[in-house]
Amino acid sequence: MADYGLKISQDGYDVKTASDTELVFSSKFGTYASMTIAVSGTANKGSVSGEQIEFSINHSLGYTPFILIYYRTSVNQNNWQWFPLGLESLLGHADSPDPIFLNIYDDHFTLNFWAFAGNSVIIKYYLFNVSV
Amino acid sequence: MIIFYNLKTGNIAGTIEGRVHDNAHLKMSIGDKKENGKIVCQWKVSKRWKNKKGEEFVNFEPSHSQKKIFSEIDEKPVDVYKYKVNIKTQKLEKK
Repeated sequence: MADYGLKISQDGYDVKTASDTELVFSSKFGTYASMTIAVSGTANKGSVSGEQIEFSINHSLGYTPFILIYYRTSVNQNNWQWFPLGLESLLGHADSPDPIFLNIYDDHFTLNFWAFAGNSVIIKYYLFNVSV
Repeated sequence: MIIFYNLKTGNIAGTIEGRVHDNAHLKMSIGDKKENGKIVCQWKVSKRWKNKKGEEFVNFEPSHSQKKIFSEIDEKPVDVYKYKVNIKTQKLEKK
């Protein structure tokens, strides 16, 4: 690879002599190494009554973003679970009537699943600057 | 932070996190646009000063009448769900 590009060093290191681990950014790391959060936030469904629920978020990013979602329920308020793992606590029973969907588009995403009665559900979403 | 709330109940439907929101964020919405309103809180410069070396420092704070609440929520965003929006005043109130 030719010796050109863009580098930013950590505070206290000379960018001209810093090793890769002493850098904050280098264009040689490639797209995914410089992946950053384009937008993040939360969404909430109050008390649900054993039903298919949908979170719909319009992001207007203009591309289909790489996405991470965590969730927590009123039953499990002290920890976040990574979507979709751990959903059995959310689904309530194995023969939940509806499938789980996460559909991601270039202007919005929707998340559908069947939530156990009595739960309230909060999701935390991270949309990245990289397209899937 | 941008807070989306149900226009009938005042319950908070979701948030977009951050201190400064550009047009891309301002175009975003959560849930049904007809059912949900939004409160936008941008952070702005509250103080600028220089030290003896001439280095410049800047403080930011929420540009909102409820800046104390927004500062608290900034540190722990999920705490926003301890609040709901008073539909008449458009202010956050503890549940």
